Amino acid sequence: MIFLPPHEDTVNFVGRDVTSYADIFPSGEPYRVLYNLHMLMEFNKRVKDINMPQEAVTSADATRRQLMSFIAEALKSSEILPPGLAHLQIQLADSLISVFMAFLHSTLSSNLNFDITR
Amino acid sequence: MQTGVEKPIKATSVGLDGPSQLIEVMQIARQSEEPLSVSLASRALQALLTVGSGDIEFWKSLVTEESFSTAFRDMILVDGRAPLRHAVEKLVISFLDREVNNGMFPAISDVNEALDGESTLRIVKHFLTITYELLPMTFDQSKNCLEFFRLCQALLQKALTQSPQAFDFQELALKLSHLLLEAESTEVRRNPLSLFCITREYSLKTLQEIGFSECLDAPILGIATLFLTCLQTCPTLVTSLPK
Repeated sequence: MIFLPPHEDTVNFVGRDVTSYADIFPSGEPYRVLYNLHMLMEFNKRVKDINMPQEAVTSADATRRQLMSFIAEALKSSEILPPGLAHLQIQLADSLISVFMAFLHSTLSSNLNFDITR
Repeated sequence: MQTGVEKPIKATSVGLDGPSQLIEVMQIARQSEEPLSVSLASRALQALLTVGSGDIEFWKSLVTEESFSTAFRDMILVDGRAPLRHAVEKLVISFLDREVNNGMFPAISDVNEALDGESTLRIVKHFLTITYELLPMTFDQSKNCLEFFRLCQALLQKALTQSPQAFDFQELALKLSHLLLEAESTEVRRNPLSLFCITREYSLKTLQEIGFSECLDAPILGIATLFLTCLQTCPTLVTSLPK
């Protein structure tokens, strides 16, 4: 499913401020979670435009932090990552950490120090 | 103008109340035989180091957590999967060496806050225990050992510099010198220099002049460097060491 082009509405949905934890990580639906994580990665790529106005950068940063909190919560969830991980859970965990790292790098990059004296 | 130095972010601002969640993922991945677990384990370690290099509280929790150092050691030294060992090596090098990571992240050894006394003692005790286990390592594993020791050294150096009151220097130096003696008994035939002579010199500059790093296997170099760090911090200790 992740090879299909992402639907615009889906990408916008996962990146919206009002998106809740349950929207991204619906209980008992691991494949939907995997797809949503793929959409989060798409969302992150789209908001990395360096020419975005400052307001949009700040908003994207806040959304990323919110989504990272959801991922951190998911890492604690025994439903998402039950003990004795099988193939699917390893795949889920790998996607979770990948998206978390992508968001972390984007957040660090959007926080670059600027030297105005040079 | 952009300097390329990233401002750190707090772990709590991204939903992490400590390193335990990520350590657990790293451990689970390391114990799994699924092919994807290799990338999962190294990514979890990368996430821990990335967050830790910018958040001192997170970093303190990380380096004082024995399950982290044990899992880290197993990943770099014990794990039978070469891709995992190599991925971890690359990560450690990039995080320890500002030149290699192009200044994009603060090097771990640059984190400037002090660890409390109890934490530093726990770290040193734990790493010394691990060091004993590393002595029988074979030569082809020494490259991995070197990276492990570089991390140990960065930790110890930071701890010694920032919380010297937390250490019983004599006890620490004695432990390290015993390690060196034990290492010497197994390694001296391979090495042109006597380690015991080296410890008598206790001058890093002198050691560099005589080509110290070229003469010794990496594990021994690591132990000797730790020992020197200890002696340089408290040079009067040399009088109390075994002759």
